[in-house]
Amino acid sequence: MKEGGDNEILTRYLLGELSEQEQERVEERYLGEREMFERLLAVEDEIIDAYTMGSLKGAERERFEKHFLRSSARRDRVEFAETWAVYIDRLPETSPDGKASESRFFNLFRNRAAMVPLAAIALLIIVSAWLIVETAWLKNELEEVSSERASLESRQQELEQQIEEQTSRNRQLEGELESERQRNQQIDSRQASSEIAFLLSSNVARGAGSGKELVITAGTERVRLQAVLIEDLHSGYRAALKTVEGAIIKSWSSLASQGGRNGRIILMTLPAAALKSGDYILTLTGVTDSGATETIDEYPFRVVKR
Amino acid sequence: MPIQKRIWSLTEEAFNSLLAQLDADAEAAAQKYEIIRAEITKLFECRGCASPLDLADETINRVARRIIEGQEIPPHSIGAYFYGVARNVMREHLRDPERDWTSIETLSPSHHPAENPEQTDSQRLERYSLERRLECLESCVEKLPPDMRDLAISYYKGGEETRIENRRRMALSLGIPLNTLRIRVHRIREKLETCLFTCLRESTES
Repeated sequence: MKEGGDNEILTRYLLGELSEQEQERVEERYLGEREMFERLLAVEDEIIDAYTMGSLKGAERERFEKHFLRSSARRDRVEFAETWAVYIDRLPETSPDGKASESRFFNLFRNRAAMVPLAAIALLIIVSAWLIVETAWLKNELEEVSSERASLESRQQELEQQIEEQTSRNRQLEGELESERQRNQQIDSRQASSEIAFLLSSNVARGAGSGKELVITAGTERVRLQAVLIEDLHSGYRAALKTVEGAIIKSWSSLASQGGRNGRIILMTLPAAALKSGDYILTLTGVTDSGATETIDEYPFRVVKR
Repeated sequence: MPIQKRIWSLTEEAFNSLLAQLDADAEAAAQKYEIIRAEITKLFECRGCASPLDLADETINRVARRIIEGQEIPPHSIGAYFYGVARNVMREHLRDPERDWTSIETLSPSHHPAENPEQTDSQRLERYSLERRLECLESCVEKLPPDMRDLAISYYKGGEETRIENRRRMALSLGIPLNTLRIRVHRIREKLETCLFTCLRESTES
């Protein structure tokens, strides 16, 4: 039998229109031939579709409902066909050649099953991009840290150099300070050797007649006289140095008392050359607030020049 | 026939003997068994039996019983043997006075004693609303491989007039006869049907 003829026989068989002998022939065929059985099922699909679409009419439709729909399995198949027809109708329009007008690409997006690998690829791309960006960022960060480290190392070297320079400078200054100290010591030593101090005690305190001796050696340029006060009762002082014969060697006005290791003293300086070997008397006069003067004490002493 | 069923039921040993008769390879035997069962079920269905699966199982049981009792069946005539037994089962069924005592659920709309077909249809639609069925169907379509999905949709797309030409062109472009295309689409449709009713059953249970 040809395809068309087979299908017609199968349609009639399915609708229960064949005689017993014809039915047996069909059954013998599809029980022995897998392809024939599948063709029977395909024809059955077409009958169901025709019924669902309303194109099965008259006696055929009646046969279908009376004979074909006896089994619940077939009624389920009709239910499926109805659902399938609505599903197909709701799909987007197709192009004239019957192919879906939507591209396969968009079909893929409509298909959730196909979306799984697409989503996985998309996720992979996002993760890869993120890793690339992250790597670049870390590389950049590393470079910045390296640069900063180099800068810090350079700064550290500079500071070490500065410390070294400063240390060297300190050493130099210490050297200079030491030299200055030594020079000052030499000056002090020289000064000490060129100036001589002489402490004069009060005539009242030591008792009359007991003078002191001032030895002036060669090289002495100046003599510093320090007259010790018993009481510091005056606002100012004057002094006069005379020989025992009464000749004035030097006089001082506007003197002020000052503190020293020996109590309150009056300090006076004169060139060593002004003194010659012999006896001298220093007379100290106190000046009161009213401007009145009074002799406080006399300090006799002997100069010996060597 | 119902009396026979009560007397003897399929044992594991008999079932294994039946499979061994179909093919030495267990997997191939199981496959052949499923095909034969589907073919016999279809036969009873096409003969207008209300419970084709029960009758198919009765046929298989009888064949298995004869095999375990020592009946030799040449491999090339196994289909014919099954057919012979099926015809006997069918005759017995047609003679059985209780054969019409089928569940109301299994009766066709036109044979239902209390309801007309339109009412039954509306009840079925109520059982599974159209939107629920479409939702399940959409998920089933999405589970198909893309090439299968495209083939099924293209096969059914378009109006009644354009479909014939469209299918002819599809067969031509695939390089296969139109009947082969029909069979291919039927296989896809079968998958979708199974998936749809599984989905609906699961949604009802949950």
